[in-house]
Order: sequence, then structure tokens, then C-alpha cells
Amino acid sequence: MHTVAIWGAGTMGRVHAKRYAMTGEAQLKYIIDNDLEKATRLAQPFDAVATVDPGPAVRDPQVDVIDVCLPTYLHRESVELAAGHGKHVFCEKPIALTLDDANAMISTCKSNGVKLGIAHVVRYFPEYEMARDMIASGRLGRVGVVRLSRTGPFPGGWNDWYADPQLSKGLFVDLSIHDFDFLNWCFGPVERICARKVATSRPLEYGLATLRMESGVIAHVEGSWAHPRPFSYKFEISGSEGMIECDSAKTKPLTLLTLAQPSSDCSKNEKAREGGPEAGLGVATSESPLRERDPYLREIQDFLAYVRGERLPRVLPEDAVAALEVSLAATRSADLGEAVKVR
Amino acid sequence: MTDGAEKKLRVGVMSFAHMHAYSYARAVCSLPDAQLVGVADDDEARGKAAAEQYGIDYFNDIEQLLDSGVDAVIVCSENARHRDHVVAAARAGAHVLCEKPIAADVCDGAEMIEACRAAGVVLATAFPVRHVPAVARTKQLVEEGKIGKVLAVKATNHGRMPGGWFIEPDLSGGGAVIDHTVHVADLLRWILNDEFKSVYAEIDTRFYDFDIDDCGTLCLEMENGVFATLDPSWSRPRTYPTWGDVTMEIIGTDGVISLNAFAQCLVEASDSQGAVVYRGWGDNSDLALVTDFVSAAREGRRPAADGVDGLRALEVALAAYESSRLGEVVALDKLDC
Repeated sequence: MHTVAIWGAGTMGRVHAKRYAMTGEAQLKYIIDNDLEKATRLAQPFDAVATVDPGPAVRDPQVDVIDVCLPTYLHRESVELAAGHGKHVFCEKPIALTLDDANAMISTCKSNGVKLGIAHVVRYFPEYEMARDMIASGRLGRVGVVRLSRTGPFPGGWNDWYADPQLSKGLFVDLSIHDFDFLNWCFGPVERICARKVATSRPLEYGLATLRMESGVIAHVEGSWAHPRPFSYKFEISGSEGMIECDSAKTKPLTLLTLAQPSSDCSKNEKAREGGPEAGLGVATSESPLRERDPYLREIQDFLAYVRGERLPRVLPEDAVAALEVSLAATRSADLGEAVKVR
Repeated sequence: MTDGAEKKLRVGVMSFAHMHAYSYARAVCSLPDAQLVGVADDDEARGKAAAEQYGIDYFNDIEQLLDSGVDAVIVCSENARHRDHVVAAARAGAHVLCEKPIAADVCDGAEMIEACRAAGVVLATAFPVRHVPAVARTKQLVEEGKIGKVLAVKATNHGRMPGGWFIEPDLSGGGAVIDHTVHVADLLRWILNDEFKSVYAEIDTRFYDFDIDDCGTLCLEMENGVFATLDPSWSRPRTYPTWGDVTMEIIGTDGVISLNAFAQCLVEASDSQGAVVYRGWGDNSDLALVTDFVSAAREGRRPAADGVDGLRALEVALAAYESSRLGEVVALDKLDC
């Protein structure tokens, strides 16, 4: 049985906490967050200790895994603190904001004899997994063009850190890194990139990258924090023997439609009753639930098996560095307005 | 008033090499103010079959077609032959609707524009996608400022590998990139009321075993700073339910427009054909294109897309090839005309 402390009670901290409990292999002992109320809310259902100070968790000999779900600019210091106390660390993507920070984290973990996992969860999404298997099996023949897309509204975060280019490094580093990692996973290293991007702050950010892999595959990556609608992702992979496509907006098996909430605006309600233009306005929420194939569950199971020394995980820290390298090259290309080599 | 039949625009077809000729010919036949009168085709079997299909005269020489008294011609020959056909038509005083790309070479395009100008005839480039109602509506939404200031566009014009002369460089001037860049390049200029500044492109042959490009991705920049990407690949397998697509995701400061120009279709699953096929039920954009050309020719006015529009789109495709050769961003050199 693993004993886990989750550091960061934001969106990803909540997602991870639930999955550790689902594994049946781990017990949550601490939830660390500088907002004690948030930490307490997340800790309660798991009978975990809520704390603003990571000290008790990293010093607790019972704890063997620290799960870091903090903003990226805090990854290095928190991972190194945990590793320095001999804890294995599972850290959210991107691994860090710079290659230097990322490499330092890896060597700190190595020298302390602890395992480091980076949560590149897209490799555990069943549709991406299936796509990679089909590519590897040769069913698609020689792959020509790969189109990847990830779109949603501008993210909210603690202190609005995504909106600060110094703290998030923008969407190629935070969002498109998923797709860059997928490209590396399927086709090996990227040779060159030509990217364009607008803004690195609210209310929107948007970028398009054209890539050439060393293997010759041509790829296109869209990253958007400009789409005022639910988050969605898409891919299309075409080869000499066939093509596959997937759109998360079209693969949601369940949609909940609810009628408009009664509004305090009487005139709107009046219109609704009359069947006027406001009538029937409601809310639609779609979901795609998974049980044993849940990607967040499987990335954590994979990391825990790595901690136990049973196998290497699907994502090695070096893979996370390689993906970051592509993200930084895309950002550089967009800044220069030129094509750049990744290495 | 004279007899209506007297006033009909007499239209000839110069070559059925490009399959769009059949759709344009059908469109002419359906118009009350135009009459399809003849076809010239160096492929005698193809030309005679078409002549029989439409009940018109066949000529094995374009001069004979031009001498037969046509007011206008639709040029659907191979890209590299457009120049000779269009220039001959202009000299004979016939208005011209020319299939895209306008030519395989920029100088040819400029010569065609000049010849038509000198003869005082209309030169239209066949950009039917402008006539798709959803596309025209997109332009309207952008111009009304519905998404604020446009920042970026992600576009595709996928297709199937057409084969035939399309994959013979001497006749086509290039593969997927010349074939499928020009439609969207034209739409970007038209919708954004802007010109191209630079192009970067990754181009390759990866789907088929031949020496012409079958895939690529273009990264484009407009004069006013809007950037765009375009995928013109022949990436649709023969078993894909439709020929391809024209899509645009237009990102503005106040919102996003998602355009899928040919989404108006139903899905047919057919055991007899062993396939699932999308059947379009939207407006006929080829008919709208030909209607516009016929009225432009009759009124001597500018058509929706003229020769210069055709040339500007061609310049983007040819610059993409140059960028791919050089491995760098290429500034667009726009021919003065």
C-alpha cells in the first residue's frame, strides 16, 4: 500500500486524489495547499490531513509518493524538496518552464534514488493509444500528415498564473505540449517547426504550428485558449493505406440537457413562458465516462508500478523534457516569425 | 425586344480534361440566357462523347470552335495549356471562364490577364467555393465584426488523389499543393480583404509512389498580420465517405467562426456499393459560378473572381513550393498587373 500526499488542491489535484483512491493501492494521507479551506475540502472525503505546510508530509516516513499538482513555475522547487526527503514524485505536465529546470529535477531525483513521473496523460487516453497502435502496426501505411488540435477557453488558475507569460510560458508550453509529446511518442523527434501565435494572456491565446519530424512525417498542431465553448480535442492521421480521425466533441456518449434555471430577470422569464426567443435556453453538459480505461487512473497505476520497481512507465522524465523542447522551439519560432530547428 | 433565343450567350467548352467541365456544361444548359454550342478537345473520344451528351458540335481544333461563333468559352484543359487556350479565345473576342489554378506559371497567368484586357473580354477564374452560401455568409459575419478583429485562420482543403494529368508535372505544374492551395488562398484574400505577405511550407510525397507532391502544410501570413495555416493534401483515401473538404476555423478577438463548407450532406450506407457515402444536398456552387460568369460576360462587368484573383492565388501555391525547397519563410512577390 502506498501512502500519498497531494500537493496542490486545484483541478488536477482533485482529479488525481480521486484516482489514487480508485487504485486500491494507495492511501491519501495529506492534502497540501496554501489555501487551507481548499485543502480541507479535498482532504475530508479521504480522511486525509489538510495542511498549508509541506513539511509534515515530506518528513512523514510513512509517505512514499508526493503528487505535485502545482503551477508549473513551482514544479522544480517542490519536486526537489520532496526528492530531497526521499519521496518518489509524480508531477503534473509540463515538467518545468525551462530545460535547465527540468534536467535539474531529473538529476536531483536520480541522486536521491527516487522515481520521477510526469503526468503526460494523453498517452493514456484510449483513443490516442489506439491511434498509436494502428500507426505502429503499419495499418495506415506510410504516414503523411498528422493533424492535432486542442481547443478551449482561457484557463483559470490560482492567482490567474496562466495569464502571466513569465509563469506559464503560454499555450505551446502548457497546452500543445500534449500534442508535441504524442508526436514524439508515435514518430520520434521533431526536426523543425514553423509556428505562429497571438498573445500570451487574457482574454485569449491561439497558436498554430507546422512541424516536420525527422522521420519525414508532416504535422500540424492547433492550440487554442480562444474557443468560448467546452474544451475539445481532435486528431486526424493519414497514411498511404488509410486514415483515422477522432473528435472528442463527437465521441461523447452522454449529454445532459437541462432547462434554463429560473432567472431573477422577470422579462426573460416572461419571454420564456411565451415561447419567445429566450424560451428553451438551457444548458448541455456532455461526458465520456470510462471505468478501467480511465486515463488518469491508468497513468497513476503505471507510476505506482514504476515506484514498486515492476516496470518502466509509459512516460519517462526524458520524454517530458523532449516534449518541452518542442514546446519551447514552437514558442521561439512564433517569436521570430521563422522556421527553427528543434535541436 | 428581340427574340430571347437571339440574346442567348453562346458558350463553348475548351477541353473536358478537368472533370469540373461536366458540371459547368450542365450549368450552362440549365440557364435561360446561355446556350452550350460546342466543344473543342484534343482527346477526340472524350470530346465526341461530351458533344453527344450535351447535343453540341465537336471540333478537334480550338480555332474551329472559336470560328463557330462563340461569345464565351469555359477552359477546362490541363493547367499548363490554359495560357494557349485563353489567349486564343481572347484574340477571337470570346469571354473566358478559366478553371483553377489559372495557370501553372505566373508569367502565363499575367499574359492571359493582359490578352483578355487588350481584347476587352471578361476573364473569370473558377473559384466556385466563393459561391457556397455558408462561405459568403462567413465573409459577411467577418465584415460585420461579429468575431471582432480577425487574428488567425486554420484552414483545410483536403481531397483524393485525382490521378491522370494531375500527377504529370508538365501538364499540372504541381501536385496537391498547386491543386488545393488556390481555393483557400482565394477565400482568405476575399474574406479578409487582404493580401498575402509570406509563406512557409512543408511539402512532400508520402501517400503514393510517384514524383509529384501529394501532401503538405502551409503557414501563411497576411499583410495586416493575420496568420493562417492550410492543409492542401490529397490525404483522403478512396474509401473516405466524401471527396474531401473546405474548412476554416477563424479566430477573432471576440469569437470564433467554424466553417465546414460542404457539411450539408446526408449519409448513405449502401450494401450494393459496399460503401458509406456523403451525399450533398446544399446549393449548387458550380451553377452559381457559371451564372455569375454568364451575366458578367453579358453585361461586360467584373466577375466574382477575375484573372488577377486567380493569379494571386497561384502566386501563393508557387511560393509554397519555393519555401519548401529553401526550407525557409518566403516573402510573396506579387506580379504587377
